[in-house]
Amino acid sequence: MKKLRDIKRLLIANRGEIAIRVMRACREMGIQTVAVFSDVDRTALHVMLADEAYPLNGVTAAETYLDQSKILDIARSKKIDAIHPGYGFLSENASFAERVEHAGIMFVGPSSKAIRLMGGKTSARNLAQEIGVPTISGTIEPLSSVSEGIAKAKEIGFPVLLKAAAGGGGKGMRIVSSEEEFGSAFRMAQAEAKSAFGDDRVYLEKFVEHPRHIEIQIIGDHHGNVIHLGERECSIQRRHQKVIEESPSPFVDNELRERLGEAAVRLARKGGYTNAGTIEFLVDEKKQFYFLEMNTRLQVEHPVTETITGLDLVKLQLEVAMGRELPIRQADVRATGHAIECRIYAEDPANNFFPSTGRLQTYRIPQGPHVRVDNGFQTGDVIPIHYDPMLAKVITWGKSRGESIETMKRVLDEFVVSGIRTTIPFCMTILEHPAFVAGMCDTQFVEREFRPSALWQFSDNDRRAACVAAVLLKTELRQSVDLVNHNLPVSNWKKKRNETLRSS
Amino acid sequence: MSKRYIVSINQQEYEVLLLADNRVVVNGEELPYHVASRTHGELSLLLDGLSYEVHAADTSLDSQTNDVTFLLNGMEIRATVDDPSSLLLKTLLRTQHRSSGTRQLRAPMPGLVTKIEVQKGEVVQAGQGLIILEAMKMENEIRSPEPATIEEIHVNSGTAVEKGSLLITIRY
Repeated sequence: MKKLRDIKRLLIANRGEIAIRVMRACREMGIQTVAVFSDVDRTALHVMLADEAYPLNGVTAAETYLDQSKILDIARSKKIDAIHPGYGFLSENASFAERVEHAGIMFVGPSSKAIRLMGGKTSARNLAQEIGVPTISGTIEPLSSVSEGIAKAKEIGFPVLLKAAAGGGGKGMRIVSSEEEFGSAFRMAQAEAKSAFGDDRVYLEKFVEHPRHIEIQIIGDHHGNVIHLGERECSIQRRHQKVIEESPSPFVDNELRERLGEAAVRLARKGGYTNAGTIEFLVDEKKQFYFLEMNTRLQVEHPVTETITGLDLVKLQLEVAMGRELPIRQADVRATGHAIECRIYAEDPANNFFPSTGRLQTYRIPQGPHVRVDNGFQTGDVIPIHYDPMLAKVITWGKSRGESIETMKRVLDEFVVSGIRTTIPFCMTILEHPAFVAGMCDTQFVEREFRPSALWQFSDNDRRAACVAAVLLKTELRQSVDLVNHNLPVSNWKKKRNETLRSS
Repeated sequence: MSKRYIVSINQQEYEVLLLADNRVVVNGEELPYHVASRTHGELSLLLDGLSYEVHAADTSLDSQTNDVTFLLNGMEIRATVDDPSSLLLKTLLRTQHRSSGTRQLRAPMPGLVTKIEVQKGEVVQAGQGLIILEAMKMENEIRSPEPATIEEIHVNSGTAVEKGSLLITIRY
């Protein structure tokens, strides 16, 4: 059992919306927040909202948010009690967690030992197999010959998937459904892998048809309690990255939820896991599930779970880190209604999700009932090219899935971003797709169903207005529109807040 | 006195006549309109009572071309606005068919050149990958817009480039 220890000052080793998300929980719990920032983030929102902020001196992720020593030096010299890593950057880095532990600082997350065990794909899969949680079977070593491949494929059962060892992005991938096809598919996969990555090593795994990505949120304390908070479905992905997540999944019934939850909790327990974490599964059409991997940190999509359970995962993380017992048991977990999240990325959905850089000319965040926006930027910000291009997440709630989708459409319509392109119109087309509305999705949905031509649906009235707007912009208003004076008075509210904190 | 414009959006042409007294004719249909601006490049357009919010891209307002890019109620629109004189000029230019020439391919965003996939003098197909540019932790392939020969490569693998930097010159 862990000794109880309070957190008074917490450093957030992150930026953007997640840094702000963590600060919000801290502020509500009376914890002072300390931000760190790179040179290009000097005026970022997470710096403005923190009680204190210190420079990391540099621009690239490697010389700033990934520089363990710089962050630890600040933590030591500024008398920090705890570090929250957010997601990405150092959040799943076992050696960083270990250095934090050795410095006598709390790491808000699992122990470095648990990160090493559960965060490692091979070790986590071995552990899952050991306790009878199904995994996707396949070869760990690359195949040396066709005959070896056929033997393995027969062992696992067709269809199988050939994958480039160096791979990614679908290159060098081949689905093989019979022994006869194996030889030529193997040679083609090798040739493709060779030309794409300069490495012709190929391995194989069981091919799961129309898989859904379904994950279970778990949280454990230092008193032996591990509970799960239900599932999130994250099958809508582009570039193998999630863009829309929801809970509950339209595909998961109580029976499957119980089986998934039980497997997730058992795995977390076996791994000695504490704090918040997510167990990812692939689920096939017959509701068979396979353990994929564990994310040993807070997930981007955690607000979906918070919205339907009414829990604050970051507060729970902090309480667990302080050595307190989880305030709820499995039987206390209740989910109400349905929540959905859309990630707003600075990307061009019409051009293969190419990063879109530039300045946020207009940035108006939506409001209204049943809406939550976790955002990291404001009008005038330049989106740096050095980090993840996510701007914000929008989460809506409804009594039913249909309701939360309708609210999301209304909300995305209100979200105005000009100056850069975003995934807003992309999310809109997905939300309007009949198959998505019917809850029929799998991880190939975007690749199979999305066409950039579906992004803009103009009515005749829209076309008419576009013509008039174009003429007015190009002629009448070019010279006549004056710039508005931006010298706004600053309220002294923030000043007061800082004074109160300093004197306490 | 009215002013006549030809607006082209998605290869479709529309005739717009701006009349006095806040009236406009679009393809023969006369409508009342009102426009107001809160800040530079941002308009509220009321067209026959329907409310539209218009945000122009920074570059559109300053450029000397006839192109304009803007958001209309969140939908991105690229339009070309011609008046009768610029239209005449265009028609004249169009008759002088272009046969061959060079084209400069520039970086669509700041990033790092991680791979050059072609060599000087190489013949490439439309859509063929030329350069890999890494930005925001993602690799992006710059492709040839048309069948061409690589005339010149202006960057090396490892070069950090700004938005608009010259990458490759092709001859078509």
